[in-house]
Amino acid sequence: MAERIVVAMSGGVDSSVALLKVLEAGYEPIGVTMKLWEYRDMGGNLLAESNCCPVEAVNLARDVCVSLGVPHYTLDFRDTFKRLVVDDFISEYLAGRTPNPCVRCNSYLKWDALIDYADQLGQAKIATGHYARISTANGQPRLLKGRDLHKDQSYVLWGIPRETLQRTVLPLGDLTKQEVRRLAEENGLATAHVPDSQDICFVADGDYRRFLQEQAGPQLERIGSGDILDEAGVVLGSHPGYAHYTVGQRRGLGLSSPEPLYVKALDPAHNTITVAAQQSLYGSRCEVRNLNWLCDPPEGTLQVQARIRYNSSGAAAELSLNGEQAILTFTEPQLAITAGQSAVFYDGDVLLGGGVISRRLAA
Amino acid sequence: MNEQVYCDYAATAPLRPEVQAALAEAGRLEGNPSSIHWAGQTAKVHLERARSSVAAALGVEPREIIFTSGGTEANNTVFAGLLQPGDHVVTSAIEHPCVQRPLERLAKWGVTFSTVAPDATGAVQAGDLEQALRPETRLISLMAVNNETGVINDLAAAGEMAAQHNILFHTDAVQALGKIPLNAAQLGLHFLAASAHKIGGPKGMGLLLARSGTPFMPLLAGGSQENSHRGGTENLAGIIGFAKALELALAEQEELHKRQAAIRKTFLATLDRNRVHYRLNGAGAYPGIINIQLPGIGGQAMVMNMDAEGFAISYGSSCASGTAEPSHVLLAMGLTEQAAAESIRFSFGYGSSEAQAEGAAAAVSRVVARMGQPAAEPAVS
Repeated sequence: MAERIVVAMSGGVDSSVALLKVLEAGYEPIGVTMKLWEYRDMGGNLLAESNCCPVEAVNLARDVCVSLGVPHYTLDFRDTFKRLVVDDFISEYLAGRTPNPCVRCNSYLKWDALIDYADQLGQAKIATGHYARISTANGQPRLLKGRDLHKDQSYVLWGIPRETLQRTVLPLGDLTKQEVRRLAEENGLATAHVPDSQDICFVADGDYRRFLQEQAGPQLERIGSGDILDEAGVVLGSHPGYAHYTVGQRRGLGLSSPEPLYVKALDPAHNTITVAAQQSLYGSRCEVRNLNWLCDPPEGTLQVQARIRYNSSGAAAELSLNGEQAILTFTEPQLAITAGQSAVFYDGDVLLGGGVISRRLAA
Repeated sequence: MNEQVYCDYAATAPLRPEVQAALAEAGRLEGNPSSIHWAGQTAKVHLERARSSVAAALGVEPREIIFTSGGTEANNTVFAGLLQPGDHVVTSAIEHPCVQRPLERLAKWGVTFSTVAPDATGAVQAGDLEQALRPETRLISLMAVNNETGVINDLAAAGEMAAQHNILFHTDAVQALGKIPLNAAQLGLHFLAASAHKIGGPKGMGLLLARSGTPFMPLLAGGSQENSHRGGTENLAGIIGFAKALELALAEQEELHKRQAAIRKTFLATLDRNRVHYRLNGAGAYPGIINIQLPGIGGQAMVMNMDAEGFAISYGSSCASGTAEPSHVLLAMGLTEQAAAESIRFSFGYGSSEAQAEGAAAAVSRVVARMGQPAAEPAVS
């Protein structure tokens, strides 16, 4: 009897082709779409091009499953998603940090919750349409970057539980986006031409300030406006509240200055933001917490390639471990090391682990 | 691939082959029943024959039958067409959403309503409805057979009480039509809503029985079809198919009831024999609907596992858009949210057999043994 596998289906082309690949590999798949958020309450411009109407997304996922003879279910994870992803997203901004909600969603929803469900369906495996690979070395499964480095999504997977790797199949790891589109077209999948999702799924218009205003209006009101300072502490202007800003941001400051100024730091305690010229935003050290390892947990000091944002290709750094926290020291200074973002550690293509940047440290 | 067994008749019954044949034949009627020429006349004759057949089955006059697009439209028609600001309605906590939502909407426009809870058996008692009456109560609305538990309400007692107080009486009989005797006059009913697809008729087809002498406005205003109670060209094939399905259902009503009782007995006996730990939700139910709680087993996962075994069953009021709220019916009966989330429904019908019921119960036993207890639902994990 074929091995059962639960495939997370978003209604996009990637997860559709993931389903196709596990079918080809001889699994008995079950497609599931997670209902994460009440999209009609989401607000924002739902007609923006980057959006995929979520009711249509569920219908597309079901269409692909049924056309491939695979059962499909929609699972209600709204409570879990609100509690573990959306509420955290809001509280992180209110704490002056810049969160990675996709990392938490993958860890707590796409893995923890899906594994729970797979357990109830007879200890099934799980599969997703992420561009990353799992390979086994010395009997241990490891997570690797996707072969298509332009699409590699391993960065958002650092937080998944290590013990689930052996039950996880990532069928797109060796494919390029073009190959995935072509497979979808050749197989006549309903999702072949669905545009790639952009931004954060519950902030479809990409306007997180609008989202915060709607979800946390009273808190933002209490924060109120504050001062914009230069590095010497001189007041340059005012801002409508630190939560509207993120480190490295240039727009929305309303300052005129001979050279462009960027947000360098947020101070929630005093509701100030500090701005500086770009070269002043470079830093070499930061503290990382909430560590998770997808290899045998290392100790002491190790040399890694570290990525501190989704679109970075990584930079050489030394990681110095001390219990629950680590100090990351880059060989070359990095632009805008941002609290709340994930720091992910690699050895070549192998993802070793990651954590959340808790603060920038002076060199 | 496992053999596929359909155990979800309360969601919808497969189209009966005789109805399919009647639909195909009706599809050849080219005229509009409102046209005065030969084509229209032929269509009109078939329309009125179907109406007469349905009316006779329900013990009323043909002019008292209004064909609709389904039970939802029929229920909406009663509330929207009858109630005025200031009117009060007494209804129950176990009604289908197509009764609850229209009342909630009318509440914004000055209609008030009281919701009466069922007792622990799941049935709503006439005495409890009576307690909720007010001087301005215009209508009592009580479903005949509950769609989730199969519990049968005592419509005769409620109708008698309504008559004593001179209040109009409406029932949502979507799960009752063709399955239990329904005589509008004997039950003291002024309005009865039903649908075709629960008895093997076409989907998107229903009726409103409205007794003469209770005027109401059409919900769908338009032409003078349906005695000016519902505008729009009639769904002639659907109506003919509905009449055929009802004729077949009534011809075998008693026989089906006996077979359903045997199916229920076999189903529960098989669970007992396999030592499955379960609780039956609802007492005195129509035998074709079996709602059970499997403590420690999430209902949603159970439905999926049964699906993989080939058995189509359902979980609470889960809907296609994927929200899995615990059943409001089971909560109203006093079940905890946890117990409601562990409850599943099997429903059988004209095509079901004892062998199928035994197979379904055996599959439950297998899945429960495999899943073990307890297993958590994602919403509470």
